[in-house]
Amino acid sequence: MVEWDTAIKVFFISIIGTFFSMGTLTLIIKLLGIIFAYYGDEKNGDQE
Amino acid sequence: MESALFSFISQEIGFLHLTPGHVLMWVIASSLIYLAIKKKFEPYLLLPIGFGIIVVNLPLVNLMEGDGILGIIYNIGIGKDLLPLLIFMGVGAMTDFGPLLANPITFIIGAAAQVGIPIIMLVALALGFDLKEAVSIGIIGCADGPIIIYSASKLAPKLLGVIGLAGYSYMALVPLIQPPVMKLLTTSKERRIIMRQKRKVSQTEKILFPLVTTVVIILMVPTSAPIVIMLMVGNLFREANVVDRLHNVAEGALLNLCTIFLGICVGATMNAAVFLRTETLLIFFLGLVNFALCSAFGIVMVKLLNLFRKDKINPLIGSAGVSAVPMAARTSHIVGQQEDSSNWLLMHAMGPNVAGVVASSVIAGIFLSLLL
Repeated sequence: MVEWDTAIKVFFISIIGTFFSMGTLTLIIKLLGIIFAYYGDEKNGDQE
Repeated sequence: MESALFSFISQEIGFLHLTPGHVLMWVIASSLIYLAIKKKFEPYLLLPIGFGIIVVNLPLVNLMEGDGILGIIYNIGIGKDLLPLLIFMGVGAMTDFGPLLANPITFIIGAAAQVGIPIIMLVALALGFDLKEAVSIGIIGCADGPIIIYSASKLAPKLLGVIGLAGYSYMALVPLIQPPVMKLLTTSKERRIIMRQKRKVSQTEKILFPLVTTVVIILMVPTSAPIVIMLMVGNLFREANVVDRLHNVAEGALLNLCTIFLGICVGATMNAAVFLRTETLLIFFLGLVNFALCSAFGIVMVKLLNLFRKDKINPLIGSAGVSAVPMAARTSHIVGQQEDSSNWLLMHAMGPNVAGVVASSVIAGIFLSLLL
């Protein structure tokens, strides 16, 4: 029997979960970037 | 005496037990070895995989059963997930997340490039695979070898060899698969977008990144813990700059050792009886579509983001959101250079490329938490 109910649930949770996790990381890293822009240690900075 | 001799010959001489299937598998293995040596397609993997296929298709040799040497390595290394996870530590030790930290929005591009995975999962389900097999086939699209092996060994161990081979084959073929998708979805004007230089990333940020990411991702998706921990501890060794010996072992000897055993064991799962089925062709076909689809979603996400941004992103870097580090980023750069030779996209494309590594760990963790 094809498990469509579970599959649809897995489909949506995997997409939403991935975007939510990566979105949260984006915000945190962005925030860290802003903090380091103010108090950053440019002496150790790497050129990107 | 004669009957004993005949019995010995018929039972113990391998030649008499050869089947066309065995010979066909040797041909396939030889092709992989040829591609590895002559064309340099993922040689570190295709060479041991090819050799593993040859030895497992020798009649009367049960290397994968019971106390067979490959069986022991397989049970510990893949059955207990040791090899893919240790390889992931090596990947972390080799990866510079600087371009991602300099441009955090590329996390979203990495996430978008995973959308093809659940779509192909539904297609595979409709084609008759069960849900766990369908997810394992979908994960081929993330183009991340250790993740593909790790997920398949947990969800669909019977298909591990085919799925692993399909994943690594398409990773080697990134420069052939992605450019047509990139050109189809972008205009010449978009391909010529020159991205501005990103900010400096300090060493402290690079050290904080593996720590923060480990905590955040594991709090959200606890089942991704083994993958994320190994990836990030390897990266911490790299960025800390005080444990050179650990860093060198993680990205050198340990990674190479695990790659040898993983390659041979993946090859050794492909005996003729398992491999020569129509479902193998189907898995390879779905893998190819999946790979193209994941690349396309990365590009489309960049185009969506550009609608809201003054500082435009070149959509070519979107396809690098599939992992395949650094091949996918290099492909974005090469296609960009074909349009404008002064456009250097490589470092910009490394952002979504390494974001893809993190995103594929997350989506694999979500699948495992839902299905195990």
